[in-house]
Amino acid sequence: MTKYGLVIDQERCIGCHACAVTCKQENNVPMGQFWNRVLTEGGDHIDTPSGTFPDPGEASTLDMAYQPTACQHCENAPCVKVCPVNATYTRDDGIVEIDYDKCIGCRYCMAACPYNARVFNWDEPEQMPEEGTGDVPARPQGVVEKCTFCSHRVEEGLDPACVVNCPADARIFGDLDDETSTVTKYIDRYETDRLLEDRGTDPKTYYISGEMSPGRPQRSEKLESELDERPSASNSDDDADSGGDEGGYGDSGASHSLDGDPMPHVPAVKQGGDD
Amino acid sequence: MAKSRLASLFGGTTDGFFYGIDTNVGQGFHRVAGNLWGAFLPPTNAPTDWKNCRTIIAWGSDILRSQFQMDSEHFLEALRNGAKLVVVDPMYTTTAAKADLWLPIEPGKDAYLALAMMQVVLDEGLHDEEFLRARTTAPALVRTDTGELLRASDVSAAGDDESVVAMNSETNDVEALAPETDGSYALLGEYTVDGIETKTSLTVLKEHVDGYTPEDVADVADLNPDDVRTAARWLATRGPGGILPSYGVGRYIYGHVFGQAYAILMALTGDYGNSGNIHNQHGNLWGGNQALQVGDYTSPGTESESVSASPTTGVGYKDVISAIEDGQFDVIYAMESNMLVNQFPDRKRWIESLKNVDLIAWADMHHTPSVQHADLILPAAHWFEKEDIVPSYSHPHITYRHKVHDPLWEAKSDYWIMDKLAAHLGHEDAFLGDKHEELRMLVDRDDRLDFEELYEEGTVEMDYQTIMYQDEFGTETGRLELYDDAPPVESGPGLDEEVSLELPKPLEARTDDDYEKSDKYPLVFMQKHGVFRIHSQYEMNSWVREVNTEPQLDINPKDAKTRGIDDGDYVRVHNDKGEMVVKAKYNDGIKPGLINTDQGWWDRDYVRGHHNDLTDSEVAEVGRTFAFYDTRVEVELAPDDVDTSNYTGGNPVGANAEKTGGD
Repeated sequence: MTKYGLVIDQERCIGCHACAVTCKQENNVPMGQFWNRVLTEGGDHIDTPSGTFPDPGEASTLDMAYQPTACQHCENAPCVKVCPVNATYTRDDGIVEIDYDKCIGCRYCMAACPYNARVFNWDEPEQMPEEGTGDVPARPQGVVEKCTFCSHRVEEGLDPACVVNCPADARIFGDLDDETSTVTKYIDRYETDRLLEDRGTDPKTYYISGEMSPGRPQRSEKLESELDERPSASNSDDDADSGGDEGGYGDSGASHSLDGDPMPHVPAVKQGGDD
Repeated sequence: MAKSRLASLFGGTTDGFFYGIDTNVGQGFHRVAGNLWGAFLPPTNAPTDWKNCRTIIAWGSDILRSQFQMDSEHFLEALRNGAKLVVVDPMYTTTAAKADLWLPIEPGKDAYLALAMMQVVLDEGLHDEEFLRARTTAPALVRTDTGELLRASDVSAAGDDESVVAMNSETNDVEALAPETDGSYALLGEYTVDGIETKTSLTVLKEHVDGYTPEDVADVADLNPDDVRTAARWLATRGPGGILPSYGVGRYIYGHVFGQAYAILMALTGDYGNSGNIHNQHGNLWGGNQALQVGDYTSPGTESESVSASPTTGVGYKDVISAIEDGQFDVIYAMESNMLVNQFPDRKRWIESLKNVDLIAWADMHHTPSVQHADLILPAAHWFEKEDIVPSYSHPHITYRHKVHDPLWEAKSDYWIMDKLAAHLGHEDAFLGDKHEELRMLVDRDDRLDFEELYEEGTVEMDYQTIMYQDEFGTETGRLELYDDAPPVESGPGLDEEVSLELPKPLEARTDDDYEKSDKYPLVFMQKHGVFRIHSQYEMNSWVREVNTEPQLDINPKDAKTRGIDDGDYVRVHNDKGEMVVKAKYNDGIKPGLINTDQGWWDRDYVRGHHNDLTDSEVAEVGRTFAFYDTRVEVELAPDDVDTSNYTGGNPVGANAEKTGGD
């Protein structure tokens, strides 16, 4: 089986909000709404730390980190359980999605979600630009919407937009059921947490903290959509040895992955995409 | 390029970055390392090499917020490989949050810290003797009587006037220093040569920095002396490392002294020419190879008989304002710039000066604050609406950008406008009149490129140099010059007397506690470059404005509470020059005594005033650079009658396009 999940390396995250904004663009998210937000772990405002400024010569106790937060795509998703019309459901590949035609706007799911991941279109959604943006149809007034792991991209063999457009390579997407996938390897190797694990929601979003990972291993002179063939686990291991440091700009990230993985591990359903 | 070509046709004047904005630290560095490209920060190893760096000192740089686009992955890779990260910043930034050691320095004290680190390196004998002998003037002898460097002609009739000399401790004789002569030169000590008393340059430097122990400096700069020692030891002993400044320190008026100081500090630790060295915060020019090489296209001269060209005069930004005030320009043609009325310091003075200009024509794709001061507005096409060739300073590629959309409404490309302007000025042949063909002609001038390949591929990687500073330096001696016996003199604001800069000496203007108005205006005002703007660009981006809603004032709660300011109150920031009204944002990460509003906001975004109504356009002798952060202010609660409805009224759903005025 396929079970998609996301690893976010908070040691790499630089809090730039590129994931939040590219999500809006890719998914036609209306003004006033975010499917994906970058929270500051620290003070009361974005980009402020906890603690107080050290007195001259004293050691600092200030602390700050970033926590990008969207739908956690829980295995045991409370939103799925409470939906009275089965509008919210879990796909075979583990992605939690909403059938907007079925949604009656009762917002039980919003009350049930402990991650505040969902938004509701109280008003007629306003798009900027007016005709909308991205590759996903707009949702109407009166429904709840949220992150889909960019399922329309995943079905094309592409990583979610937030993953591709992270300038710090802090987001890694892949199949948690595939033991050779980067997400699985990172979860095995690095210290990870999931949000509110005590709620029993079994989220499929993992946060690395402590030791920094090599980040997303996508390194190629080609865009994902241009890649002719995707390596199997065995030939990606071969690539580890050839990953050198010869100096080409495009090759320079070879040291920048755990096993020299040349590309992400979204299985190709078909080629294409507009990346 | 078309702009410069057009200006050259009629002897026009163009503005020049050379001296004006962000050229301060580089000027100081260049004094030590010599004749480097451009006026900005010095060359640095390619970011692909940064992973080999063992110690990174990010100095006044929040690289992960202001310069992250291509380089954050390389910066992070260095950290993952075990580099120690030291961050010197009066603000606890995103970059500071990832540091092994954060030095929360008092604003404007950076040169003190650099001197203290030199003191530690020399006092503990951590300096790189081999490097100092081979590639610096550390062994060059300085005359005790005149303070001048001993020259070859001083000690030998056959010697020349230029060469400096050093004492060879094996032969006990002096030798002229060539760029990389390898000798057993004495680095420290006093020597009498032909009856002339001398000491080595390194000795003079050591005596100078002995006045700046970590204890002395910790007191001035609010630091812990142990932290200063740790930073110096990491840089000197952990293998190749580097100092990565941004333009921040250069936004104090005498920031060039820091440039001089850190160039010398890195000379002491031998951090030039090795894999793993870093000298500035961005990928720089990648060896300069990614610029299109077009010969004399921008100043045609004799190339074409049909084009009679006059030389273009370039005026540095610091001189533009007085030139406008003096009525030197009848016409200003401006394009792709929001500097005059938004980005330059002392904004009101610029606005006033524009009254001396008969005609101002402005081509832009946005209705910026500057455009609003034009007599003629020319709607320019967006870069997606025209084809072009794009070099970059942040990656080593030349890109062919294809047009993806026709220009909307009446917008025209800047090239189209230039071509028509040239024709009206009697230069019908100046441009081909067809952008595509003009681009082909430009690429044909560059031997490294093939037009069809660039056009088809879209992006071509150019050769670039990974490790910088492997060849002789651009100084007179070909070496890093630690001691300058013909130094510039500073006599600007805040200085009681003239100061000559043989060696780096900490100089301050308004950040100095003794500054005459420090009681009246106790707070230093910084305008950080944040993640949501490139200069003032993207102010109108409604998606970004949902995150970055309005200008705010980072203020330490201690400073706020003594002024009766609550988190979220609107406050008036003011000094003798002007004011701005913004929302207070409690931030425990900003040093008490310092406040910040990110730059790049437009006048319409302020409840009242503008951040550049508070800044000054004075520059220093050496740096010749606007000193935005060398600004003092006071903060108080905004008057009750200020109208904040732009932000507090209405339906707070996102960034309302009407309110932010964008499209």
